[in-house]
Parts: sequence; C-alpha cells; structure tokens
Amino acid sequence: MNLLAKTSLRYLPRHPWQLAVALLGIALGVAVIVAVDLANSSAQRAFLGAVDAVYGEASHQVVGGPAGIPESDYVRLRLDGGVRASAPVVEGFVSIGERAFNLLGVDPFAEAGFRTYQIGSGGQGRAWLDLVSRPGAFVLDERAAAALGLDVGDSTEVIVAGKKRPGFLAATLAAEGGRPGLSDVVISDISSAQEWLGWNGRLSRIDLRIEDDAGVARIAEGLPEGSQLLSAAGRSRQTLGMTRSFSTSLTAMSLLAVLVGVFLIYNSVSFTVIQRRPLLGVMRSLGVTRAEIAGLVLAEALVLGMVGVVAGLGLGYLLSRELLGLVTQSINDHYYYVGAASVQLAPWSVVKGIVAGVGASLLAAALPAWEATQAPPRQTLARASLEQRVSEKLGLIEICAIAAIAGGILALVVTDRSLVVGFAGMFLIVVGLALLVPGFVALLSRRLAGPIGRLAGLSTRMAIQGIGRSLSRTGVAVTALAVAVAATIGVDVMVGSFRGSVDAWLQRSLNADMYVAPPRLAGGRAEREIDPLLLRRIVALPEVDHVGYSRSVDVVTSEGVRRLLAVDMTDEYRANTRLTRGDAAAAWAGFDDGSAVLISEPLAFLHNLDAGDEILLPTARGVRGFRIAGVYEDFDTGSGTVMLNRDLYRQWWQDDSVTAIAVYLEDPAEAQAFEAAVDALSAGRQSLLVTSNRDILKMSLDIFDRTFTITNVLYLLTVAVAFVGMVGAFSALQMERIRELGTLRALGFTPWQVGGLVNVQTLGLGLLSGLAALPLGVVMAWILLHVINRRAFGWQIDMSVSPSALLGALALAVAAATLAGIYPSWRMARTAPASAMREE
Amino acid sequence: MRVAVAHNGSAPAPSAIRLLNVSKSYREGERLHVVLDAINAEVVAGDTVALLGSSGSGKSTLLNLISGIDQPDAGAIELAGTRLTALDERARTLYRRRNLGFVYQFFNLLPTLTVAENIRLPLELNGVAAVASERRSLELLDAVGLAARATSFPERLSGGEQQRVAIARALAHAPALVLADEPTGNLDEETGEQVLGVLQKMLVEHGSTMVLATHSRKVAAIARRVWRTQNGHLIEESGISL
Repeated sequence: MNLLAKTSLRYLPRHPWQLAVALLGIALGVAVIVAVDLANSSAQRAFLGAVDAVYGEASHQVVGGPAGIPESDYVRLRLDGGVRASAPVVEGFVSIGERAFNLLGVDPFAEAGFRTYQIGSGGQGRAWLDLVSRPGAFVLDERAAAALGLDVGDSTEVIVAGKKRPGFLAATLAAEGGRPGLSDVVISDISSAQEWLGWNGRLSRIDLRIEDDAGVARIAEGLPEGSQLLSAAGRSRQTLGMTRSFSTSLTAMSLLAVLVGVFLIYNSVSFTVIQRRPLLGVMRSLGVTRAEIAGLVLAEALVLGMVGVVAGLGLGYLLSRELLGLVTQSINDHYYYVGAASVQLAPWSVVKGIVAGVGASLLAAALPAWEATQAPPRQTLARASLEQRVSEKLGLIEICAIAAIAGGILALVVTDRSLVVGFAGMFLIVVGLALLVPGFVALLSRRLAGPIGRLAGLSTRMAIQGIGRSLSRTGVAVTALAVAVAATIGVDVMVGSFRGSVDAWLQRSLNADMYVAPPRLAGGRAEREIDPLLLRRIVALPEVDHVGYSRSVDVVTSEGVRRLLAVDMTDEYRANTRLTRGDAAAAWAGFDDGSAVLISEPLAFLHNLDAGDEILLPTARGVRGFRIAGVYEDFDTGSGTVMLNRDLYRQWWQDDSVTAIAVYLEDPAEAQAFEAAVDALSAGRQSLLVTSNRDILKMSLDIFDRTFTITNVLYLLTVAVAFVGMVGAFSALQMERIRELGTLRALGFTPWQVGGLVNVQTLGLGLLSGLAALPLGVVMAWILLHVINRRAFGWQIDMSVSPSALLGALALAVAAATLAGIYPSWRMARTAPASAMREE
Repeated sequence: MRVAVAHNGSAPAPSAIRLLNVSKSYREGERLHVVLDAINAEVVAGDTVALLGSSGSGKSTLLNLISGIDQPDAGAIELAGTRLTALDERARTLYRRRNLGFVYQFFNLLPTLTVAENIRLPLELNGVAAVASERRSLELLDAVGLAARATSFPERLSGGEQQRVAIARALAHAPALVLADEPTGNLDEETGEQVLGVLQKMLVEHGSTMVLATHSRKVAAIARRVWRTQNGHLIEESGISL
C-alpha cells in the first residue's frame, strides 16, 4: 500500500466520531433502501406467485361481471367453438380454522396444460378421484395442512363469507418441488367450489390457451353479451399494478432516508477533508498533485462506502424480514390475500444498495475533493483563508439554492401526474432550501452574538460568534442536520395530516349506528353477500328504524379492476358524502335518476377523469359507458371506486345481492339488543359481523396505523440517523477545537467555563439546526402530501401542522446537541491544557 | 543584475534560481500591499542564501513563489534553467516533487505516518521502490540521530526531533534546492543550533542549494549570502539593492 493511502487509512481510525457517523450514515441509508426493496420485491413475488398459481399457464381468460359466466358458455366454447385448450375456474376466498386461503375450483380433467399439481405423500392415486367424486373434497399444501392439524382424510369446516360448509381433505400438495404460490390456495372440484360459494351453474372465468391472433379474434367475436376476453399477462400486470402505488410510496420513504444519509455522509466526509486542509497543503508542497489529492479523498470515500455498504446490506436484510410482514399485512388489508412470504435475496436489491451506498459516498466526497484541490497549496495551509473563501462563496451558494428551488417548483408545476418528476422536484426544493441554511447560520450568529454577549458575557458571545466564523465546519453540519430533522417533521406532519383527514372522512361516512356484513376477507368478491332471507329478517327487527343497502363488487376492465359500490342512498349518507368536483345538485339528481354515476377522487385523479366524462364498465349486458356526474372524497387504496344507484346496478348487472347494510336504530341505546338479535337470527346460517360505527372507525384506523407502521419504522430510523448524526457531528466539531480550548484553559478558563463554552456552542448549533429544519420540514410535508401522495394514490389530503411535530423536532435537535457537548466537555476537564494544545 | 559567481571563486557555477522582475502584492480591503516589487536576483547551484527580515516583510512569500506553490503577479522565475512561471499547475507540482525540499517552522510532518514513512513519502512520490526508500529513510534517520525512532509517530517526538525528521524528509530525494522557512523558529536556542548543525551537515553532503527565511541574524549566519527583505525589495547585506 502506498504511503498516501496509508495517511488516509490511519487518519480515519484516529477520528472515530467522524468515521462512526460516516459509516452509520451510509449503513443506515443502504439498510433502508435494501430493506424496503427486498420487502417490496419479496412481497410482490409472493403476490405474483399467488396470482400465477391461480392463473396458471393460461394465455387468455374469459371473464364476466360480478355474477360470473353461465356454465353453459363454457360448454358452448369447448364443444361448439372447438376450443379444447380451455379450463373452467371458480374463484373465491375461504377460511379454514383461523387461516385464509384463495379458493380455486377446477375441472381436474381440463386442467392439463394450465396448472400442475404435485400431490404429496398420503393421497397419491386417489386424490383426483376423491376430488371429483366426494362433495366438499379439497387439496391443500402439506405445510398449511400440518399447520391446521389436518391429515389426509380428515373432515373440517370451510367458511365462505361467514357460512360454514362441510369440507374433506382429499390430498396434500408436496411442499418441495411444487409450484410456488400454492401454499395459500385451497383446490377443489368445480362443483364443490360452486356449492360453497353459492355459484351453482356459474363460473368465475374460463382459462384459455390461444396460440394465434386469429383465434383470439374469433373467440372474442363469439362471446355472449356480458363476457369479455382478456389477456392473462395483462391481468397479472393489472393485479400487480394495484400495489404499485403502495410500493412506490415506500420507496419514496426509503429515498428520504437516503437523502438524510447522503447529507450525513457529506457532512462527515467534508469535515474530514476540511480538517486535513493543512495536511493536504503539506502534501501539495511536497509535490502531490491535485489529481492525486482528489483521488485520495475519493478513494477514502469509496472504502468508507464499501464498508458502510457491507454493514448496510446485513442490516438491510435483517430489517427487511421485519418490514416484509408489514408489507404483506398491508397488501392483505388493501389488495389481495398473499399469506406469509419469506425474504428472497434479490441480486438487484443488493446492487441497488451497493450503488446507492458507494454512489452517495462518492457524490458526498466529490465536492470536498474538488474544493480541496482548487485552493492553491499556500492557502490550504491557512485556516483563515478557508473561512474567507466560504464567506465569499455564500452568495454563489445562495444563487445555486434559488436556482434549485426554482427548478424544483418548475418541475412540480409543469407536470401534474408524473411521480418521478414529483420526486425530482421535491429533492431539488429540499436541496435548494438546505443550501440556504449556511447563510441563515451566518446571519443569525452575527446578529445574536452581540445582544447575547451583552446579556451572558464574553464566553457566550465567543461561542455564538464561533458558529458563524467557522462556517466551513458548522455550515455543513447544521445543514446536514437541518435536513435530517426536517425529514422527521415532513414524515410526522404527513402521517398526522393523513390520519386526521382519514379520521374526519370516516367520521362523516360512518353515520349509521350499526353495520352488518359477512366477514371482510372476500373484499369485492361477489360471494360476499348477506343471505337474502336473513337480510329480510334483520331489517324487520323492531330495533331498526331504517336501513341503507349497499352492494360492493369488483369488475375487471381493460384498464384494471374497478370497485362498484351500488347504494340505496340514505339522506344521512348523502349529506355526509363530500363532492369535490361537479355541480352537487345536478350530480345527485343524475345519481338518483340513474342517468349518471359518481367516481372516487383517486379514480378521477389517477385516470384523468372528471365530471361530464364517461367511464366504460363491463356490465352483464356488455361493456357500456356511464356518465360521470361528480367526484366524491375517498381514500381507497385500489384503482378506484364507482358509486352508483342500486337500481341502476340491478338494471345493468342483474344482481340483487346485498354486501352490507347500514342500520339506523330507533334508539341508538339499543345497539347491544340489536347485535344480540342478529346473532340469534344468523346462528347456524351465516356468520355476520355486526359492528358499531365506533368499532368500524377504530378498525379502519387500526388498518391505517398498520399500513403506516412501516412508515413509522422508517421515520424512527430517520430520527435515529438524525440523532446519532447530530451527536457525532457536533462532538467532532468540538473535538477538533480541543487545541483552541486548551489555549483558553491556559489563559485561565476553568474546566467548567470551557465546558460551558462547548455546551453553549453545541446548543446553539442544535437550535439553529432545529430552527432551520422547521420551514424545511413543513415544505417537505406539503410536497409529500400534495405532490407525492396525490400522484401515487390520488388522495386529496388537508395538511395540518401540529405544534407537537415542530416542538418534537426542536427537542430532538436540542437533546442531540446537549448530548453532543458532554464528551468534549468531559475530555477537556480531564486534559491538561498543555497536552490539549499539543493535540493534532 | 548581479552576476552569479561560484562561492569557491572558480569557474561560474550553473544558475539554481533566477528571479526576473518578480512582483507580488496582496489586496487588504481597499489597500494594495506590495510585498515584492520587481525584484531581480540569482543564486548559483550549491550556494546558501538567507532571507533576513521582520515578520510580514515578504520572506515566506518569496519562498512560496520560488517553490511554485504561489504565482507572482508579474515577472518570471527560473529554477535550474526551467522557467517555473511558464509551467502549468500540474507541471509545477511535478517539478516541486522532483527538485525541491521543504523545511517548515511548524515541521508539518504527516501525523498519520511514522517517522520513517514521512521520510519515505517524497521518495515514493518519485517512484523509488519500497525497499530502496526504506533503506534510504533509515540512513537519513541515522544521519539525523533518530534511527531508534523510525517507527514512532511524530506526536511522540520533541520539537527538535520533529524538525530533524523534517530535514531528513526535505533531503530524502536529494533535491537540487531546499527551502527552509524559519526552521528554528519553533525551537529553543540550543535545539535550534543542533538542528541547524544537522541541516548544514546534510546540505554539504548532498550539495543542494538552500534558501532559508529567518528573522534571526544568528541563524542567517549559516548562509554564505544574506539578503534582507525590506519595503518590497531585496537588499544584499553588502548594501546593494538586488
């Protein structure tokens, strides 16, 4: 190893604070990126695996409306149309014990070429025979069967939309060598599935393998009204696309953590360079060229980056295991049942971590490296010249800041949909505002030093003045930490505002006393309906004053899945539904007479739809356009909801089922009596959830909090990075002054006085970071809410800045600053002035 | 301009340093402070020159200009026939690496390198193989009486010891020219004398030219010629402005 490299290698361990902060910044940044990426990709792989397991090798699918496709269509297609490569499927959700599964009802004789199943031990040979010959027979992954305590041949209860159905485990699927994604699937004969779901004579879809375009066109032409032919790949993409906004927002959060990490790395690296300017000057006078100096600094950053990356990858993997559970929970809550997934080490995630860690380190080192080589060697030897250069450059830095802010605003103004440009705009604005911080620090310390000095004495004045006069060090540290603290404000305000908006929206929406529905698991599945006879009896209960009926089903369009919400509008519901676009009176009139529909805010924003436009929906009588009368406030996480009059729904979808009812009681105090009455009526018939509006509000907010647990984890990581970074940076600043402080001791300052000086200065730095972070954090929150969330999900969220978020951030900065002063003060108290003055 | 004469009085020696109308000034707010005002001077190879003057008189500025770590506002500087002021920054750096040695008032040893490694650094920069540079560093340490401290880090050494290491480092690659800026300014009198002795001895052994900046007449006495810096001019102690 050459001697220049040795100077670096030995320098960093001699300055453990800077080394620790730099490594921590890189490691945490990389860990967050890798963890989020691994969790996202593993969850998506599990999600795709689950989708693939039920889609199989089909090239196309024939799908119908919520009521499915008549079985006779399949017979006609296969026999009359001669489409031999076709397989009927009935799909749904079931529970066995406490565990949820996707139900796949198939015709075993038509399955060849679509899906392969590897039967495990204890069921071979008889499995398919039992499946078709015994009602309620099903096949399950052997691990899932073991977890449920089921052996082949055991009978059990299969719960479908709250109704118990008899089931029988005919065989298990081999865990090893089988198709991934089948671990969360119950496979039965099509007739058993129809029986369980109440879908006699109907199919969810027909899977097809079509080799040529002509075949596609021929089949599409021959389809009956209400059915449509879709490509299976397109459906997989659409299904995956549902979770894209979710994973994008997580990626955004991880990028925010990386941005904080980059600032911390920049702070550490630039500090180590600035601190070594005299040494670099000596090297230059010995004949070391600028390129060699730059190479030295960059090589150092490269090594730091690589060490940080190794630590970050390990940490990221561990973190991803925790995050994956949260991600799959959110996917289960909002999109599709994927069961438990395990972290799969994706090479691409590792590459991203390496590139981010090493790239950020090199990027952070590039500017200090350039700066160190630009000054003539004579000047690098003089500290005063550096401070003068920094002061002279403040104007230029401010021009760059304003240019960055203007560029960011421009990026946000000229585009209103692109998420990538939204991110770019946000980062430009944040960087621009961050660049204004050194000027702010210089101004404030200049203005405050005099008045504070008059009040608190010369040493306090020295401490405050020192902040502004050592801008080469303090400016970068305060900026880096202001960004870190601002990120915590940004996330805190974003989540707080979002929760506040959702809470207010739920309070408005949940205006009935009680809600009755089958268990939620089946989401928008058609089988999730209240038994009609039971429904009539519930409505007739004496406690009931009036009822609002709703039917909620998913329909598949060429642009994705749409949720249809067909309602018998009650006055209360209407009064609490906030229209954000369209003329309210006209919109409600169109809704009531069935000439128009309303669409949710996310659907309108993400698909660029507005009042007056038309939306195409597949009905039982073919695809039809519906006029949009207005847009209503909603916070759904799917690809959007269409709300329509239930008469209009019945007319076009020929479905009279009810998914849920909103019950307004004669006397709200009779809630418990009503619940008991429903339980008594439904016992043995259908399991129904009877919940009060308060319970639903709580459940919904629980889901919200669960969804944002991952954000909170990332938020806490950002706080931890900011906190440790601040303690490290401020301590390093003070440790570097140990010689100067030794001089003060020699001049007669007591250890207490020097400690006070150190603490006043670190406290000043903490306060300045906190103060600079306040506007920066609020701007960050505004962009996260109104640009990033809006573009990712289409949500319209009102921003509310709670004083606690701002005070918390200030407290974080001050607490870190207080901690940061402890070690240097202690060290000074224990070090004799003479040896302090000899310190490097 | 004075004609360069070899100090032994025989045939003229080649020129080591030529200063041709060199000017340098600094701006202090509105005021222009002229440090060197069109000076001309020449030093022959192997000669020793002391720059004598009070603080701020321009001694260090002149050393910085001769070494190429700073550039004059006007005029030219030639070192052993190479016009330094015509070279770009990188070429000046490489010239310095090969031909110059520095001794500073505050030693400026690299704290992260051991004593021996500090001496090896200029050798390594000049492409000398590790084994050879190691041998050379030990020879030099022996010559300055610090062979036992080869593996120590600089902060473990006294000021005088550090300066002896700095002298060894300055001469390690046998530079044609050694520039010393107040080499005893940070040492007590006795240690300073020891260090000067070492410096003188090593210069004689290596045959290098030296320019030494000092404010001490006693230190200046080790040089064959003495120039005083005053009001932007160089005045040879004989009283003739150069």
